[in-house]
Amino acid sequence: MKRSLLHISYPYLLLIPAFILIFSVLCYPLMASLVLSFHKWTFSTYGEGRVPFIGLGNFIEMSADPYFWRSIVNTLIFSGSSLVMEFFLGLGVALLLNRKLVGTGMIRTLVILPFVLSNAVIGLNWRLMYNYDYGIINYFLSIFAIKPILWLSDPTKAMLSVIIVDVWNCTSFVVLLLLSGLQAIPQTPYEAAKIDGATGWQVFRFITLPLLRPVILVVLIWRTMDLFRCFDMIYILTGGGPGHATEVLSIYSYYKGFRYFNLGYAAAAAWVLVALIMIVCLGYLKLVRSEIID
Amino acid sequence: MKKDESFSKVMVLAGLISVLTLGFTFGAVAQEKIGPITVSMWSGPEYDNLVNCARYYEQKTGRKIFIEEIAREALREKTTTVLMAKKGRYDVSYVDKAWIGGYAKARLLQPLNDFIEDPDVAASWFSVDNLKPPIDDLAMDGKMYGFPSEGDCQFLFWRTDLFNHPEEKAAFKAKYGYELKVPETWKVYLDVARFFTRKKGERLAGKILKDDFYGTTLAGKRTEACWEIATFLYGYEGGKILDPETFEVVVNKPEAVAGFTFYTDLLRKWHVVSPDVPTWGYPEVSAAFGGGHTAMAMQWMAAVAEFNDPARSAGLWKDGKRLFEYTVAPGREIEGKIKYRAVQASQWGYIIPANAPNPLGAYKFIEWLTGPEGAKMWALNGGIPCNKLALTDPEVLEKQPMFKVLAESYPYRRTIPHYVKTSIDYEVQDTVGLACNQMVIGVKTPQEAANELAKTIEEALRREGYLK
Amino acid sequence: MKKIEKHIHNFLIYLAIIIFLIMSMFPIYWLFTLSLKLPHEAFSLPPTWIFKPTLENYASTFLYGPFSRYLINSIVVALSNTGLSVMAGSLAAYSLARFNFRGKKLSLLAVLIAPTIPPIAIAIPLYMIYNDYGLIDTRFSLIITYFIFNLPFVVWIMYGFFQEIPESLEESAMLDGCSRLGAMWRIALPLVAPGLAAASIICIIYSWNEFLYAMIFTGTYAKTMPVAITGFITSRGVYWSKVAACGSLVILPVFLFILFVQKHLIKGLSLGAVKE
Repeated sequence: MKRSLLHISYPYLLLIPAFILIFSVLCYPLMASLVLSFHKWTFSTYGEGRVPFIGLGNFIEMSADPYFWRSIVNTLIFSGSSLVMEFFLGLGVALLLNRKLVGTGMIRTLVILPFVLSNAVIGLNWRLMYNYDYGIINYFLSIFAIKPILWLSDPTKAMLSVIIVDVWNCTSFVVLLLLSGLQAIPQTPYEAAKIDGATGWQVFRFITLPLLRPVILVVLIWRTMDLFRCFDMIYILTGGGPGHATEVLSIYSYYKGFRYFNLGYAAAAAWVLVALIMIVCLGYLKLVRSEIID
Repeated sequence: MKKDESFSKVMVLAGLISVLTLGFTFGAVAQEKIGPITVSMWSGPEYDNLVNCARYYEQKTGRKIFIEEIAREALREKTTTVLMAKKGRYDVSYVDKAWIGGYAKARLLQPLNDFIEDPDVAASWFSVDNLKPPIDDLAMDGKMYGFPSEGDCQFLFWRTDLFNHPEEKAAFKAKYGYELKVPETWKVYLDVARFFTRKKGERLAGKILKDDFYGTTLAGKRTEACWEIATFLYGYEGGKILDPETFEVVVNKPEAVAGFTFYTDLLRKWHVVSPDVPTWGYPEVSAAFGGGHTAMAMQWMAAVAEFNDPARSAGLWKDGKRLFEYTVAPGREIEGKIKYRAVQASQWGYIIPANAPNPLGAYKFIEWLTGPEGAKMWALNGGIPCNKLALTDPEVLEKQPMFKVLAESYPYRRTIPHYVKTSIDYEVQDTVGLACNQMVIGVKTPQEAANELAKTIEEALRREGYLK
Repeated sequence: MKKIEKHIHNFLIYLAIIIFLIMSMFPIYWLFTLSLKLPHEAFSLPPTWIFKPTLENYASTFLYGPFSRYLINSIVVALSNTGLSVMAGSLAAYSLARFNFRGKKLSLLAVLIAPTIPPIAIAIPLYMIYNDYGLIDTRFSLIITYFIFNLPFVVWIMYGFFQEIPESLEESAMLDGCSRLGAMWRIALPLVAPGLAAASIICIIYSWNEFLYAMIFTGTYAKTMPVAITGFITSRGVYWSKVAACGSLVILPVFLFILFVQKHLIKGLSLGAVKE
């Protein structure tokens, strides 16, 4: 087989459109942001015309800030809890829907609907529902003679409230992906298993799960990334409060950067977030054993 | 295969649609703006007001004004980003006075002094004195950066039907030993608030309460607390944030902490406000008082319009009768006279970015807008201008009687921060709000929160070069 | 006996689905009813379940500002970006799934980095670039920005799907004289239709709802719906009813898109084409 130039470069050619579209826009800002994290950019330094290079100064200052560490803990709690709940709930629902149902098209569309809402609208909607005095959730609780809860004012409850909203919002995403993954699995292994008399659980564990692995990996990685980066919804729902109870790293970085315009510091915080996400995702990849990458 | 064919058709169709719509993207390349003067303003009543005034200005002078509406949550971010760019997009921007310090230090603003002092530019009727004292809030280091536009401040609102109710008056006198009156001092304020706080099922003004009723309100949200605390911080025992002479941080000194403590105790000790106030801001306070759930409220005077509307404030109107009034915020009485008093205020104004494409046109517009004619129009449309001539105009006073109380409040107007101007003003504002939020939810005591606040501000001052 | 068991089984399944649907639909339903109430009724307790609906919120919203323009902006940006992302992303995913080449691991990781960047980190540098090229307040700026997040997602999801189907099918097609791309177009793509459907739905939703970049890069002409909706959060409070009206209406186009596309999530695109 003669390996022509076209043949060798084929895979790269297919990659080119995607890479151009992503990196032509991303490259400069990415570099600029990284470089910025090593400089001291504030209103004062910008005004004086010299933005000094301070090496790891921003990172050192950050590590001395207890609220930075608090935001990392918050990020981990928020992401971890939401991910676990969304994944298992989503898997369950996807399995439920993976069959011929009456009105299947409409059901599937309705299931996806919570994910369709804009984050801003979700934040506002739930803020109204969580209202202590006039909110509908406390009203329902009162019907069951449960005392109203300070969903957004109590620092111990606020994180839970935020997690509930995200689970409500994004389980649909998990359902959507897992369902499509389930639907794309060919029938033959199932037919063979049926002939062999396998139980439902065995079918699930030895056929469904392995075949679903690539999609599960994507779901985990993607939800993790989205959860770590989550900003709009939390910001509008609680603004990071009460106090610092729901201040995740992205909100921490936002306040430092876009409110106080300490841009170098904010860039440093953002890159810490990137590092965190990369570590977790690489962890996933290692865990699922690189049968994916080979 | 039939399925494959239809699938391919769908794919081709999808591809066509996306390419076609890509073509539509170029239809919205930002066209030449309608006019040479672009103003950025946040959404809400001020936007509507500005549009009205701008239209009048266009007709009068023939100069075109284009107003870009920005969401309130995004105003600072958007404004700062645009200000920092090489190519400017805005000729005029609507900003809060706390932003001026940072912008000025970063040289993002155009000083107005040259325009004002140039006889060929400044209008003949223009006088800086008409805009004092607010215009000083928008100045720094001797340079004027903006003309003041909205000067809201907080009033003490109270329910006339409750304060005038004979049963309540008798009960109050019996309990506290003096006549029930509209609070002018903090002691009376607290007594009245405690008196009127009742649980569901108790009696109030002759009726049984269907819900819990509270004496007063509090805005405890992180981004709103800094818009309420000036009243207590400065007006309880004369606390301050920074020492004006030495830039020393004094926000954790006893005078300041006394104010914080009184504010915090309203919720945590005396329970005269709803337990949900840590999430409250302007709209929640309005809803509480307007819905008839509190006896008093510390609220912005802009809410008067809302309270005057029976459809929006069902709890303040009965059979066409108005059930509320407003007055100047209380002060602290020491040895018979009021020694400390502060009224929470906010000061917004128009600035001209350094990169403005049309600074001269921008200046003429804001000169008019905050001048006697423009300010009067602004007031008649429901705004709260800062021009003395407009504020004392009889036509305006007839339409907005609340300006009389505003005039009374004027000597006590304070903002966070107030006495000192630095490039970290906004950060101070935000961290004060954060500290108040923490006190109010109870994770820190007022002294602890104030100590932490002091540390944060000190670090920021050091970072900006104000302290060594 | 088996039949009864089956019926109970089915009943429980439907029950579970209905419960789940009720819980996920309720907030949306509540939002929708909010949009049909007058503003001061929004806070009334107990909530008025039976009330006289009014279309005033919808009327005032869409007569109040240039919302039709914002809606069109959202549609154009979403469709454009989704179409291009899915096309380019599928090509790239196919390459990664089918070939082994130098730099494959690196490519996968590079594609993974792009969406991990918090939007705020690059927002300001991006703004400066767009400003220099006169792209501020254009739909184009949004379309190209969203590639950063949508393309990697498409690549990764399609990568997973392409891996699920065996290469034997394409090989047999190529032996029959098909080109590589032809095999992909005719054989592989129809089989991964569920993945394409899912990817396009996610891309549409992301582009439709994205807020931060839309807010920073657009002003008046290219403004999209999420930014317009946050305009109802004013200094004098939130116009809840208008938010509800706009928020409800904005779901509709995406809802229709999903209804149309979810057909391709169907089961049964079996491997019957190839006799093993």
